[in-house]
Amino acid sequence: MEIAPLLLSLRLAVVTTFLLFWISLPLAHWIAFADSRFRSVVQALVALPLVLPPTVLGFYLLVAFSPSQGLGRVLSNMEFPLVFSFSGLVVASLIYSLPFMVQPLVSGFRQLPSSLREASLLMGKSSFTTLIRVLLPSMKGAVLTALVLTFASVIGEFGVVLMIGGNIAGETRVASIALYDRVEALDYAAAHSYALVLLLFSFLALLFLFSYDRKLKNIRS
Amino acid sequence: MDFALRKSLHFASGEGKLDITTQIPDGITTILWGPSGSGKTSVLRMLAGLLAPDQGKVMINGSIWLDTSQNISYPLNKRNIGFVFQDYALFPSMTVEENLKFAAPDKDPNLLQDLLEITELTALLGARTTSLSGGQQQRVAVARALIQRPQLLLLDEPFAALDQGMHDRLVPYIKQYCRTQGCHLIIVTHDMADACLLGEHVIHLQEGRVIKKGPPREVFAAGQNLHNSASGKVIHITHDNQPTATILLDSSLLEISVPQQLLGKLQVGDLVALDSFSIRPPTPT
Repeated sequence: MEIAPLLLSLRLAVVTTFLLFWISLPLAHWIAFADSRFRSVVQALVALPLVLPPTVLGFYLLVAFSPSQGLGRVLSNMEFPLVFSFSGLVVASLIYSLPFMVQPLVSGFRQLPSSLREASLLMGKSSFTTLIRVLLPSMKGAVLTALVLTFASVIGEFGVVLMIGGNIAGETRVASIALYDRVEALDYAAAHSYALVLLLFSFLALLFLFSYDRKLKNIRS
Repeated sequence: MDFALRKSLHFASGEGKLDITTQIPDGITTILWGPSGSGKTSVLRMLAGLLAPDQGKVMINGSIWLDTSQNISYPLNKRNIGFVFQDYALFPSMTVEENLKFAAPDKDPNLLQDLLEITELTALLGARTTSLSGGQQQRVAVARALIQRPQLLLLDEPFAALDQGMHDRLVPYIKQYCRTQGCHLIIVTHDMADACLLGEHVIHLQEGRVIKKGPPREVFAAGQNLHNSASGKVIHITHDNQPTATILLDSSLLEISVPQQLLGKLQVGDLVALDSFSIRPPTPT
């Protein structure tokens, strides 16, 4: 078993989780509080990766980022190709993992009493200050859930990653792709190792999450 | 301060219209009184800008905060309102001190000292608000609203969790504070005793309609068919030259001179028969 695919998976998960948190925060805030007729449309679009086969998403991204197409050509000309590159994996992961970050944050916002937000605004604070100083610190459980689920989902991604990134060693061969690659090569010993690491990681991530949730409930009670 | 607010709301009996128009002179404490679900909190929320009326106009100190006919709605974070919510809305991730500091970063140290003394919060400054009792949380909420030096103070059932001693110290302080700071004070309560004793102007709301408004002695005037054999609960006693007790009886308040034989014995909460008491309409405190 090589260590490089595991490190690449970790790097992808860290970058995606960090970027996605800041992208999802205003989006989740808007979904939770905005009174807009477009909210259902946005919610459906955000949740789409949950029900869509990853290969469908991967296919459309592959087409969109192809150097022979409009957007892909522009990016290619700017020497920022997204197909078969780590940057492409990050963009694909941001889209694929969007619901894992947004949904827990929306739930967190909605579970807070509306009076917290209202009290802060009435104290003359801006929506941004209210979000950062009042709301986020009051929903640590939801934030942690969003971060852990997103991180774990990126580590476990396969279909989208394979479609958009292929299997380039050191560039796009993440752990899940390496596992597939080893099975294809009938190298079951290495495949077992990758599978075990991914299994243990996923279990530990969820164990950490539920233990923290239990701790938070104990503190509250 | 003038306001006129109209909004369709759901009441216990079904869909109805909240309709309230009033003028409040400066320095007057106004009480919105009525049963649960009568629209009191909705009025406060509309004044604060947290709830949009169907039609309405709010003017305070010469500025228009809201005028639906002209599409004017002053941003709520610019209105300088102190609001004590029914659930207190204390920030759970902050300590008592951080809650106060967040409300007024450049707080006046003298005012802070006064507030901490009157609300007896000095020893609790470092405590998380989630670890406080209901009464302590309510005191923090009141102190946090006052330290903002608001031009409008809206209190939604602000004294429900306070013990009698704290209630008796805090209420005069808030009223004095509002008089000296030129802050308009509106208190929502469903408690008739509070409604009579706290304000100079009472608005009795029922299902969104103003049933009666005016000084407490008018709003709570006793019925003509009152029998002297009736009994009521003592809710307030004054100990001046002529000791008097305020008695709550059905939906009326009466003020009686405490007879010689009951002096020093009568207490708040006692049930008394009205026989042989001299009865007069209540005067606001």
